[in-house]
Amino acid sequence: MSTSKGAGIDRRYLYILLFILASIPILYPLNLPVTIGEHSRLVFELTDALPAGSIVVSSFDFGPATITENRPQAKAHLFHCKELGLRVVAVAFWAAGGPLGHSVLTDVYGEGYELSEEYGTEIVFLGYIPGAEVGMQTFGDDPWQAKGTDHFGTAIADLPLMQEVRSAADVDLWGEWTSGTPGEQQVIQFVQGRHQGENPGWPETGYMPLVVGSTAVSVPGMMPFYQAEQILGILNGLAGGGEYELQLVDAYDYALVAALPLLDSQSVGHVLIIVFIAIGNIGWAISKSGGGRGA
Amino acid sequence: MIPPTIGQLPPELDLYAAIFGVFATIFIYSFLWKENPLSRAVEHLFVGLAAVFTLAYMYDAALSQAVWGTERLAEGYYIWLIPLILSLMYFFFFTKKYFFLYRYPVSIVAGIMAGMMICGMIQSNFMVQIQSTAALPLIGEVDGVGVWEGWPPQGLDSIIIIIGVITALSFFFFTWEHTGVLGVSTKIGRYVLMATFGAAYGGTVMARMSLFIGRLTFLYQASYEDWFWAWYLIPVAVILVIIVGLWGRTSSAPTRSTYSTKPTEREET
Amino acid sequence: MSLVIKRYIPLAITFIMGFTMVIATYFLAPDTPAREASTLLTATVDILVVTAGVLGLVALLRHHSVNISRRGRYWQYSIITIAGVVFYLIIGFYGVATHERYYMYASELFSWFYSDVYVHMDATIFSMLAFFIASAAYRAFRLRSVEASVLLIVGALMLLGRAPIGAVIWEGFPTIAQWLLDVPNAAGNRAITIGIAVGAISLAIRQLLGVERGYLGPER
Repeated sequence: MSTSKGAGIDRRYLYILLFILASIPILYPLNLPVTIGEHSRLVFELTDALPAGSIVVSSFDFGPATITENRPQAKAHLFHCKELGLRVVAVAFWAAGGPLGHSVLTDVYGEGYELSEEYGTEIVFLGYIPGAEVGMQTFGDDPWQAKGTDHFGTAIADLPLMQEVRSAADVDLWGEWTSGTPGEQQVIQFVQGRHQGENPGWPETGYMPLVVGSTAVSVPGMMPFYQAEQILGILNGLAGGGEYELQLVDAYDYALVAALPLLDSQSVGHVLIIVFIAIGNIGWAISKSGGGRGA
Repeated sequence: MIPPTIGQLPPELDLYAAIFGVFATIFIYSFLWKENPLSRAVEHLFVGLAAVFTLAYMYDAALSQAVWGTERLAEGYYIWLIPLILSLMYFFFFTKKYFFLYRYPVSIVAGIMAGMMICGMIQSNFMVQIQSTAALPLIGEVDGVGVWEGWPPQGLDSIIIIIGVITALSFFFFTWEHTGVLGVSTKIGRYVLMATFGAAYGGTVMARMSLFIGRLTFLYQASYEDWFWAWYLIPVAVILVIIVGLWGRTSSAPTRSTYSTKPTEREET
Repeated sequence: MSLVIKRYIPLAITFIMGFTMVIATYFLAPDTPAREASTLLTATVDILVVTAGVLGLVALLRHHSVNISRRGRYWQYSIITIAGVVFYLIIGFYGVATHERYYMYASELFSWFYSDVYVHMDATIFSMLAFFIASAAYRAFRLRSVEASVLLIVGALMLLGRAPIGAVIWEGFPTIAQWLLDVPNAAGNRAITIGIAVGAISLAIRQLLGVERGYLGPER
């Protein structure tokens, strides 16, 4: 790290400072009040408005790298669906979504859910569907073509819930938990766009209702689709997941909170970044005005 | 019916996983201080495991798509043999004489994805975006509220978006020189794009902080039964890193065989 | 003749496949046999994509084996990579041998190893970006121009608005962050989305017409 001292402070000390300051709220929570944003409120209200028995597709399109953001989002939404009696078809278009999705479903539906009575009628986990966007389009056109068995090897024809899911037109809500490609844009391009207007129960726009839980990096890029009502609600990273959990705690005594306790540490991290930017620029301005090299 | 699982795993495996997780995390983070043999070892291990995991899921996906299940090979639908045979042609990539056979499955995939891209992009990313920009409310009411009521008024937001989209698009227009009206438009567009990149920067910082916070949560809160907490091992891992780092510094200068890609003279003779 | 087999037939296949997809989407009604045939076609393509992943593993093993045999750079670590591959493959093949449908991942041990061992490494490597962001914020983010200032101010407002601390400092930060996301950011991103769509469509058309041939690989 020969260049680590370039701008005055060795960057390794910045790393240590970040490590220590971000650790403090985890060990000693600050309990900062959480404001529920419009995007996560819409996800909650849209899901809450679905009648019991509605079919929800829950797509685990994330990997271990973004598990901190996506896992709480997916878990909270699945819990919400379970409380409302919604029927869930869980899929994954990322290979990592297979085991991670199984782990989330185990948390919500219980250990050994795949052997329970409700499996096949209330919840189905199809597992990883290969092909990325090609797989998504195939699933939207005909899920029975996309996969012959579920994640555990049971034939599709043996799952009663799948008898009612023959295309995207049968889906009442699609929950996309994503951190990249394939993700929400591919759902919009290759599923939603192809099946516009096929279900009279869908909104006036004719689009299949889509809510997205995403890593915060992707959210700014989603806003054109949100504004065009192709996406109806967004959980924005860890904060969005925490806001959704808070709504579930208020309405359904949700006990599996994972994102909410981490928001204090996120606050500290954000403030620290702003402080670093400020200190860096102040130092640069001083060195520049003093006739120095300037960084 | 659902096939039986392999059997219950011994619960001690959770303890070993937590121990490995702490050491792997600290060893990888030690790279931030200085690259060292431990961080390098964990990274190489990660690469190997990632490759096998990907292979396993790909293999299982092929089985569950083509072989097992409803209307698949196992039920006598032999049409699913065609993609399996075609997919084997990928392995001609490693030959010189028959390399061209590798191009056949690649062409199929490329053609289908190009066709899909045309259909998907035109509708969702092009037509709908232009339609929704043109349909932004400028007069009247939306959901019973006038578009010029409240703060900020929806009509003002609509104007900002319309102007923002047009000027930002004009920034990418390189057919004519950016002077005159186009020059003004691109200047405004540049500021709109800077606001976009600022929002992207904020999102990026949020996301990266979240990843790090997730790892901190594991380090401080992972436990096994009531007697083992993962953070007990943090000082042990740090000491290991320091020892290995010091050992690397005090050992002899790197030999040619460690850093060179060429065989040594002794090996050549 | 050989050029026909090696180059022109693959290009023709690309065109036919792509044209079929476009025709199927725009001219074939859903629930017709022809449309269902096109769905079957995309389903078979899923399997082709799968095998491409195997090439990656083969290439990885080849690279590290050569590195070990030639005693190349960090050859000792290549041993670790291959040992990891072999170890995880053994677990996977155990699953294949004991599973009714010959699956690999259904082995509990395989799934456990992924979700309790591998996940830590993947998540940690990715999480190092937080430190690099912090370092870059201090060392590289400079207010050299008006544009950079706009970027910084919007970024800072987003950071304050999207974390609970912002509302504690001033209740207006979340509202401002929401507005920035919904209005100026949406405008800029819409322009970028339209631009990307135009670029992607033109690239896809060029690929179908055989003008872009990079996907065919090197001429051998």
